[in-house]
Amino acid sequence: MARVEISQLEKSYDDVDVVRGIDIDIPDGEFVVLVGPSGCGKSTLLRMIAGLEGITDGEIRIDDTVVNDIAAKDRDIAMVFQNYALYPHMTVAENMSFALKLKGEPKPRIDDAVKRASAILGLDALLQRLPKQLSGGQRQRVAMGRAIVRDPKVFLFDEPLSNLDAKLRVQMRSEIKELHQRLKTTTIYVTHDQIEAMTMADRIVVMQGGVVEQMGAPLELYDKPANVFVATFIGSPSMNLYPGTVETSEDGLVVRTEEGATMPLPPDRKDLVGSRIVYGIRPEDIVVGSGPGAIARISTVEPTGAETLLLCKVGKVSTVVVSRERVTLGPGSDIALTFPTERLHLFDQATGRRL
Amino acid sequence: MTEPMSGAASLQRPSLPMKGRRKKQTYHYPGTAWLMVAPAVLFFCVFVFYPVANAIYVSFTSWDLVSPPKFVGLRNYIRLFSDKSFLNSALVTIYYTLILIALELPLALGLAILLDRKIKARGLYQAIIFAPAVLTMVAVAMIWRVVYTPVGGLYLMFTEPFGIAGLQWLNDKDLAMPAVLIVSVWKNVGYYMVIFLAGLQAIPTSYYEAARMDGAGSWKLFRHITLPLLKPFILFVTVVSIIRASQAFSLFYSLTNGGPASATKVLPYMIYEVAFGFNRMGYASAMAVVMFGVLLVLTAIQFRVLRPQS
Amino acid sequence: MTITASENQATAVRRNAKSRRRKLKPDPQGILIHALLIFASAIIVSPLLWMVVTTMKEQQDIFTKPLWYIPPQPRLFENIQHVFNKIDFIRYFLNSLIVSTSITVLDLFFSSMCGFALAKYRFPGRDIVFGSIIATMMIPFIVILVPQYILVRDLGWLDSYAGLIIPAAISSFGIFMMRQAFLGTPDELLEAARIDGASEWRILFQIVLPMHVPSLISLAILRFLGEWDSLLWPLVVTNGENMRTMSLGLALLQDDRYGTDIPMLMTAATLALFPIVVVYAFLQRYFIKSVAGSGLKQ
Ligand SMILES: Nc1ncnc2c1ncn2[C@@H]1O[C@H](COP(=O)(O)OP(=O)(O)OP(=O)(O)O)[C@@H](O)[C@H]1O
Ligand SMILES: [Mg+2]
Repeated sequence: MARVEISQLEKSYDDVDVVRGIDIDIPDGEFVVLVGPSGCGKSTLLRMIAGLEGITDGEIRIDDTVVNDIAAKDRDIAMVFQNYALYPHMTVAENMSFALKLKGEPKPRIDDAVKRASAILGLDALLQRLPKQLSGGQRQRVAMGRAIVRDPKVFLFDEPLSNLDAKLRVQMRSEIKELHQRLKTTTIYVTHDQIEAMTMADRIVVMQGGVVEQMGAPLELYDKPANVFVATFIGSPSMNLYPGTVETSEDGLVVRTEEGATMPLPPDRKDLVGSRIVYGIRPEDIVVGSGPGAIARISTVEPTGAETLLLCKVGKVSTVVVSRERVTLGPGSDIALTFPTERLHLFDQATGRRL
Repeated sequence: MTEPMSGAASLQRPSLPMKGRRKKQTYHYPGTAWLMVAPAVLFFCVFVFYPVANAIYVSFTSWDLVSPPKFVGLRNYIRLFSDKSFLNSALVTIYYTLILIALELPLALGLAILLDRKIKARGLYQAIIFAPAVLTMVAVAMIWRVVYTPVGGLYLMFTEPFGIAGLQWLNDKDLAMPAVLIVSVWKNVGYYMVIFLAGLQAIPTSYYEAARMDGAGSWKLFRHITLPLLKPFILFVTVVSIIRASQAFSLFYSLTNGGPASATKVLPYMIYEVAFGFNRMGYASAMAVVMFGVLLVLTAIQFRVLRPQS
Repeated sequence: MTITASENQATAVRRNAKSRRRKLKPDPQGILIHALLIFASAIIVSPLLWMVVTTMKEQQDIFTKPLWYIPPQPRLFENIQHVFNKIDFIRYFLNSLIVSTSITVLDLFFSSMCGFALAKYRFPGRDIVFGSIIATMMIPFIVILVPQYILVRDLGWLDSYAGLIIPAAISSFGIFMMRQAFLGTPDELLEAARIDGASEWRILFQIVLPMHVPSLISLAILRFLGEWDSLLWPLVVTNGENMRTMSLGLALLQDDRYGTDIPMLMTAATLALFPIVVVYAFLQRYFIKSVAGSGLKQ
C-alpha cells in the first residue's frame, strides 16, 4: 500500500540520455501500465523504481520517503521479470520463501505466507517441484507468488507475459487483473502490447524516447490522444492520418491533403483556416456508405469474423477501415466513406499536438 | 497503411538541456566487486608478476643464492648462445615437442573418429583409453622404466616376434627419446581424444546428412565438413600440447634423468639442474626467459596461421 | 490415414529385417572399428596389468620367468612390506592429499569469487584485471621457478605446507573457467535476489554457485589431478622426509642406485595408483566431461 511519486527523473548511460525528465504520481492502489515502443526506457524507469539501476537526476518517493539512495531490498517492492528469474536449484516453496527467510521471519509465519500465496495462485500441488519441472504459465505464477508472499508496498512487472503463448497470455492477463483487485497493491506494469495496457490499466503512461507522451485512463487516451504519437500507438489498427491544409470550400470547412483529396471538418473550427494540420480518424469510426466524405478504392479485404478490415486508397493515400457489417465488395471496387466530424482528431503538423 | 502519414507528422522534440549536476550512479557494486577480485589480484601480483619481473632481473645477474647477486649485464645471454649444452637442450626440446605432436594429435583424432558413432562398449573404450591421463606421472614413469628393462621387460612382448631383444631403451642415446615419446603418447592420447570427441560431437549431424545427399563420400565428408569445423579444436589442442610438451619435466626427471649423454635433457630439466644442481640462478633465469620469449612468439604465430578464417 | 499407417508398418517390417540381418552378420566396417579399438585398449592396459602381475613376483622371476608368469605363492604381501620399510608411504600419501585438497578448495573459492566479479559486475579496472590474469596462462612455470623459490625462501616457507600450497592456490585457468560459466547466468536472477534482500556475497554463494556445481566439479577434478601430479615444485621447496609428497617420494624411491628391486617398485606404483584408479572407476564420466569441457565452448 503505497503512493509512488516520480519527479524530474533522469537517467543517462555515459552520453546517452535514456530517461529524460519524467514526472508520474501514482496514488495508492493504482494499476499503472507503462507502454511504449522498444527502447523507449520503460524497463529502465521500472528498474530505477526497483532500485536496480542508479538514478542520474530527479527523485523517486515511495510513501513520501525519497528512495534514491535506498537499496532495492529496503524499498519493500517486489518485481516479476520477463524470464521469471526463478532460482533454478530451489523448489517452488523455497523460491517463494527466500525473501522472508532473509528477512529473518519466523518459520510458521513464512509457511503461512507461502500457503496463502499458493492458494491464491493455485500452486498448492507444485510447491515441492523445481522450476524446470514447470510449464511456462506455472513458472509465471510462481514468479508472481514470490512477489505476493512478501506483501510488498509496490508490485513491479516487466513484460511478464511476453514469453507465453497468445491464449495463456489472455488468461494470465485477467488473473493479474483479478489479483490486483483482490490485493489492491500499487502496481506498475511494463508492456509494449497496447491491448494489455488498455485492458489492465487504471491509468496508462505512454512513453517514447525517454519522455512521457501522455498519461491517463485507457479510454481517455483512446478518445483524446494528446499528440500524433499517442494517436497511432493506442488503438489497433492504428489511426488514419492525413496531413493537409485547412480551407473553406463550397462544402464548408475542409482539409485538403497533399494529394488533393478533401476531408470535411466541423464548422466550429473556423479558427484553423489556413493552418497546416494532421487530420486523424480511427478505422472503426469511419462509416461505409453515403454521406459527406470521400470515395475510396478497395485494395484488400481482410475478414476477421466479427468485423472486416478494408485497406483502401483515398486518392493516393492509404486508409484502413474497420466495418462491422459484412462487406460484399471485392478489391478494385469503389466505396463511399463517411468521416463523422464528431470523431475527428486534429493535430498541429509542426508540433504534433492535439488541436 | 498510415505509416507514411504519421512519419510526415512525426514529432520534433527539442532535446532537454543537459543538467550540470550529475549524481554518481550507484548499484554497480564496484566496492564488492573489487573485494571479490582482490585476493586473486594480490595473489597474481605476488606469485606471478613479481616473480616474472624478478626472473628477468635475476637473468642479468650472477647469483649462487649464498652471496648477493652480482649484476653482469647481458653476459648470461651472450654465453647462452655459445653454450653447446643449452643449444643441445633447445634442440632436444624442439625435437620432443614436434615429434610428440606429430604422433599424438593424429592418433587422438583417429581414435576420436572411431568413437564418434554408436557402437557397443563405446563408454568402456573411452574410459580405458583416457585412463592414463589421470594416472600420476611419476608412477607411470616407474612402470615404464620397468617395461623398458632390457631383459625381462614388457616391451619384449612387442619386439620378440620380430626377433628383437635386449634393447637398452634408457641407456642408448638413440633409443632414449623414442622411449620417452612412447610413454608420452601412451599417457596423452586419451586426453586429446576426449577433446576431439567433444569437438566432433558438436558438429550437427544435419551437415553430414546434407553433404551425403549431395553425394559426398566418407573421405569428402571428413575433408570438407569434419576438418574445417574441427579447426578451432585442432588449434586449441595444438597450442595446449605445445605448451605442455615444452614444459614437460616429471617424465624426464623420473624416466631418464635427462640422460643418456644429455639425449633427453629438455630445457625445463636443464634449467632445474642449472638452478638447483649448480646453483647458477642467473644463468638458469636467462635460459628460462629465452624459452618464454620463444614460446610467446610461437603461440602468436600459431594463432595467426591457424585462425585466419572464422 | 490408413495408407500411411500401413506404409509405416511396411517400413518398420523392412527395418526390422535389416537390423536382424545386421545382428546375424555384422558389417566388416564394424568389425574393423572394434578391432582397432580393442588393440588400442590393449596397449593402454597391458603395462598396467603387467605392473599388477609384477607385484606378485620375486626379483629373479623378472629375468628368468615368462613375462606374464604368476608365481604359485604371490609375494604381494612381502613386496608391500618392502615398500613400507623403504619409504613412509602413508605420510607421502597424506601430504599429497592435504596439499592437493587445500589447493583445490582454495582455488574453487577464490576463482569463483574473482570469476563472478569479472563476469557480473562493471567496475573500474575490470578489463585490465581480466586481461592480465588471462595473460598469465602463457607463462611457463619454469620461468618463475627460481624467483618463486627465492620468494618462498624469503617468506620462510621452505619445507612447509604453506610453501607447497599457497603459491599454487589460485589459478588463472580456474578464474577463466568460472567466469565463462557465470557469464551465462541471467542478470535478472541476481536482480531478483537483490530485491529479495540478498547481499552480493549471498547471491554468489547461495544463488549462483549452487547453479554451477558441474563447473565446480570439473575445476576441482582438473585442479586436484594436476596438483597430485606435480613434482617440480615439491622437489624444489621440500628437503626433508616430512613434507614429501607422493610423486616426490616415488621419484626418489626409484633413484635408488643400489640395484633396483623391481617388484617393490611396481608394488609402490600400484599402491600409489590404486586410489586414483578406484576413484576414476566410479567418477570417470565426470573426469572425461571435465576434460571435454576444458576445450572450447564456442
Ligand atoms: N547499460 C546500458 N548502457 C547503455 N545503454 C543502455 C543500457 N541499458 C539500456 N540502454 C539503452 O537504454 C534505452 C532504453 O532501454 P530499456 O531497456 O529501458 O527499453 P525498453 O523500453 O524496456 O525496451 P523493450 O521494450 O525493448 O524492453 C535503450 O535504447 C537501450 O539501448
Ligand atoms: Mg524492456
